[in-house]
Amino acid sequence: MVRIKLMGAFAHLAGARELEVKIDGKKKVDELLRELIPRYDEFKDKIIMINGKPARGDAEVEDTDELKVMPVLSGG
Amino acid sequence: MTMKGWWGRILRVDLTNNKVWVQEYPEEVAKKFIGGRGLAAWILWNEAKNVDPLGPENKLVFASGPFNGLPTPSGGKMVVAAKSPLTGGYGDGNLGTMATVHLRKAGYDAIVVEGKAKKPVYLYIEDDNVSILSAEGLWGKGTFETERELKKIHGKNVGVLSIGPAGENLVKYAVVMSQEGRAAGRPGMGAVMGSKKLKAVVIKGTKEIPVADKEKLRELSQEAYNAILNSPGYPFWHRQGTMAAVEWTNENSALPTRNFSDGSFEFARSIDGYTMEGMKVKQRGCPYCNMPCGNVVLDAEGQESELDYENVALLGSNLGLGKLNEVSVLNRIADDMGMDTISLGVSIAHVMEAVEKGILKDGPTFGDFKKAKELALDIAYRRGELGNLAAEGVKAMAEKLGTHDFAMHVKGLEVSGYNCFIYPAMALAYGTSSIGAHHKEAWVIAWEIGTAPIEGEKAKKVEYKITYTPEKAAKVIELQRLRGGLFEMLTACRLPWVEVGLSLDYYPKLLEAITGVKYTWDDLYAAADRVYALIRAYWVREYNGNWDRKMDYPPRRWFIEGLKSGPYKGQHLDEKKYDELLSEYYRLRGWDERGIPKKETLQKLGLEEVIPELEKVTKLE
Ligand code: SF4
Repeated sequence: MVRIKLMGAFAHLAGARELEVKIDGKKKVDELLRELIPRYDEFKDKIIMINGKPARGDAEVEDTDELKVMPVLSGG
Repeated sequence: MTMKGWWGRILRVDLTNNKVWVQEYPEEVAKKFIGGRGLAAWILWNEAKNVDPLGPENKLVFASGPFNGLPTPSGGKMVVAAKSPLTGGYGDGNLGTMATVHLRKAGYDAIVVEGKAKKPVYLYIEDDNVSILSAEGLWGKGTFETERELKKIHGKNVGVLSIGPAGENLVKYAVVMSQEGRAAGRPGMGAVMGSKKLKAVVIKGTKEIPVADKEKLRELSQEAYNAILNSPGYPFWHRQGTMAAVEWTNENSALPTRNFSDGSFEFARSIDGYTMEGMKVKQRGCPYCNMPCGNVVLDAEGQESELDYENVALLGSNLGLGKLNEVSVLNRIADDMGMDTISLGVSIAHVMEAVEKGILKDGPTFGDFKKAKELALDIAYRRGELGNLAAEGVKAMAEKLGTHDFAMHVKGLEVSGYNCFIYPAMALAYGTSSIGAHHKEAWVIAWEIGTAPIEGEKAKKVEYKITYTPEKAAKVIELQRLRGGLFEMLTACRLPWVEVGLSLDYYPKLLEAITGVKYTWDDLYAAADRVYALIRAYWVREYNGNWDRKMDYPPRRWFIEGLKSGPYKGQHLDEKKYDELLSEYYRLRGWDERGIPKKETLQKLGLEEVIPELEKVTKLE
C-alpha cells in the first residue's frame, strides 16, 4: 500500500486527508495523484514528499512508500 | 484636471493650525508612481525629511490607487504610510476598508495629515466638506467600540479608520484599524496617528470616479471575478483562507515556534485551519472581494475574533500556546487595542525567552496564556516596566537587555510568520523588504520549497539541501516587483493571484481600462523598481548616510543556531553564502555593495532629483 497524506486544497478536492492505495510495481507520482485529485494538473506549485524527502511529480513510488502532497498556495 | 482614474487631488490636513486644503498633484507623478505605496513614498520623500516620527512634522499618509472605489477584483485596499517610529525608516502597510472606497468617491486619491491637535480629534470627510471634530469622548476606547460609536453618529454607510489605546499610548507597533479585523501599518502607523491626537478618520463619498472605459472595466472585472470562483483552489480557500498555512509550514520546519527557536510545534494540529473551521462563526472580507478570508471564531472569552495565519503563528506557536480559543483572545485584544499582531507576538516571545534564560526576572514564560494576556494589555496601556519595555519592540528590547542573539527583527521590524533556518531566499526577502521583516513583498518560501533541488537517481534517497543559487535573488526581486510594487500601487489585494491563481494579465488591462494609460510589463516593473529605489533612498537619508549591507541581514539566530527538531534538525543559514546572495541581489537591482542605489540606477528610473539630496549624506557610486 502507498500511504498518501493530502494537504490543503488537495484534501478538499480528493475528499480525504489520508488515502491508502494499492499499486503494482512502480508508478509516477503525477499519474497516481491525477487519479485521486480532481483538477490536479491545474495546480502549478505543489510540494511532493516521498518518505519525508522532497521529490518531483515524475518520481516513481512503489507499494511501501509514503507520499505527502500539498499545493503551496495559502499563507501570504 | 482631465485625468481618468486618478483625481489628481490630495486632501491636506494640518491639525496644529486646524487647516484643511486640497493639493493638486501633477499627472506625471500619477503615471510614474501610480498610487498607494508609490504615491506615499513620493510624498514622504519630499516632505518627511529628518523628522521625529512621533513629532508634529511627520506626515501620515492614507493613499489609495486607481483600483480603489471601483469594482476591481479584491481592490478595496488602502496604504497607510509615515516615517516609522519603530524602525526610523520608511513605514507602511495596507488594509482592506470601506474608507478607501469612500475616499475615492469623495474625490481624493490620498489624505496627508500633519501637525498635532491640542485635544483628541477625528476627521469627518463628506465629499468637499471636511471637519475636524472633537474625539474627547472616544479617546481611550478600543477600535471596535470607536467604529461603532462613529457609525451611530454618521450612519452605517461610511468608511472608518481608527486607533485604539495602543496608538494613543504610542506603542511602537500600533496599527490603524478598520472593520474590527483589518489592520494596517505594522511599523507603528497607529502610533504616528496617536502622536497627532487623531483618533479616527470617517469618510463618506458620493461622487463618480472618472473612468476611461467603463464598459471594458465592467467586462474585465466580471471575467476576473468568475475566474476566481471557478478556480480549483477556491472552495478550500473559502474554508480556511490563510489558516491553511499552519499545516504546511509546520510540515516544512517553517512555523515560528517559541520565539523562532524551532520550526514545528507539537500542538500545531490544535491551532490549524481544521481546528479553526470547527470554531468559525462567520466570514468577513474587504470591499469588492469575492474570496473573503477573514475567518471569525468565538474566543475563550466568548467574543468574536478574526483569525489569519500570521495571527495564529505569532500569537500561538511562537508563544508556545496550543489552544486556538486562547490564541484568539490575544488576537482580539491586539485588534481592539490597535496593535500589530505579528510584532506583538514576537515582542512577547522575546520577553518569554528572556525570562526563561533568567535575563528578565518577572514575566510570562512559553505556554503561559494568562500572563501573556496580561502583558498584551500592559503593552497597550504602557503599564509597568515590562509593558513599557515590550511596547518599544524587539530591537529596543535587545539593545537594553543585550539579547541580540534571539532578537527576531530586521531593521527594527519584527519577523512575520516564516522561520527561515533552512530558507535563504525567504531570509533574503525579509532582509530586503522595504519596511523590515515582512512577508507581503517577496513571499518566496513557497517557491523555494517547491523548487528544492532533487538529486540522485531516486528522489526518495535525497536530502533537502539549503542552496544559495543566484536565481533566488532574481526571484525575490520578481516577487517584490509584483507584490511590493504592482499590488501596493494599484492598490489591490494580491491574494486572488497568489492563492487562487488569477492571471496577472488582468491587472495591466484593468489599469488601462480605468486610467486610459497603457502600461507594458516593463513599465510596471520600472515603476516598482522606482518605488523600491526611492524607499531605499529614504532609509539612507533618514539614517543620515549611516548605512551598510548589514542592514539587510536577517536575524542572527538563523546563522548561529540550528533547528531544534524535525528532519532538518541542527541546520541553519550560512552567513557567508547569504552575503553572496545579497551581493547578487544588489547587482541585479543596480545598487552598490552597501545596498544604496547607484547614480545611474536612479537616473534610469527617473529619480534624478533624489541624487543631490542623497549626496548630502553619502557618496554615491
Ligand atoms: S482575499 Fe482576504 S485580504 Fe484579500 S481582499 Fe479578500 S478578504 Fe481582503
